[in-house]
Amino acid sequence: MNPETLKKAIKDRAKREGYRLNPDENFLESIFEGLYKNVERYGYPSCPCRLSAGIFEEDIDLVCPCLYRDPDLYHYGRCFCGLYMTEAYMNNKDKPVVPNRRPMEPAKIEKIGSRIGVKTVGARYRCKSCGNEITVDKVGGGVLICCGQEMELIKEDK
Amino acid sequence: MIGYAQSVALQRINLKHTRNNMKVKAYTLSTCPYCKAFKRFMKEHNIPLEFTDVDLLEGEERTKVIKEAYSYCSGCGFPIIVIGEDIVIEGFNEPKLREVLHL
Repeated sequence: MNPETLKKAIKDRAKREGYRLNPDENFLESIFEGLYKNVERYGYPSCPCRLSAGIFEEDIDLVCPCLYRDPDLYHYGRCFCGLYMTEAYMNNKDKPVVPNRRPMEPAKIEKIGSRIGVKTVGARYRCKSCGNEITVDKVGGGVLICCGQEMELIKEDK
Repeated sequence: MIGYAQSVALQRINLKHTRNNMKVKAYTLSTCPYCKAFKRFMKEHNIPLEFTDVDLLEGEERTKVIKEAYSYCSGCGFPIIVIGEDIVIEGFNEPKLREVLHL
């Protein structure tokens, strides 16, 4: 991945998902720079506005688009770092400040990072918050997170 | 009773006094656009700033500085700006910063 492919991937994603990117070109470039710096040093584009641990399992919720992007876009019309925006936010005069939604207690982050997650193909997980249900097709080993919390295992295999 | 000219002079002294004596330090990230804008703002206004790019630290120093930063403002976004002894501003809040620094 180089800076241009990263930029293109983000622009394409925004278009595909119906979001807008920050209209301030200089600001946008600054975010892209930060994201690419994280790709270079960590291997993944974690949020440039939050402190990454440099360990993928611990930073999984910060990989752009971060886990908090959609709830922030829903509630405030803008993601925490200001990369993604909604059309309504851009047209609105009030620009609310977006608070940091990420839990900061290191213990909690450490716990998620060190826990063994998905183990079997066919296992079913449910989000205790929104009710999303998913079935595992391939085991990667990570912990599944939805709506900012760990998903609940409801069925071990098929 | 003091005259207008004296009052203005006194205000200027007070302003200078406040700006010169309020030490500004900040916990920042080298990748964060808001932290960059904040550093630029301080430079433009010639206000000395002592900042630490937390993401560039390693090992024990990093743990120590993170703990120190979160002691001011747990869970805050960056930059975490500390003015004087006890004024903490979360993020690059320019109006608030102007108010506190009398700009």
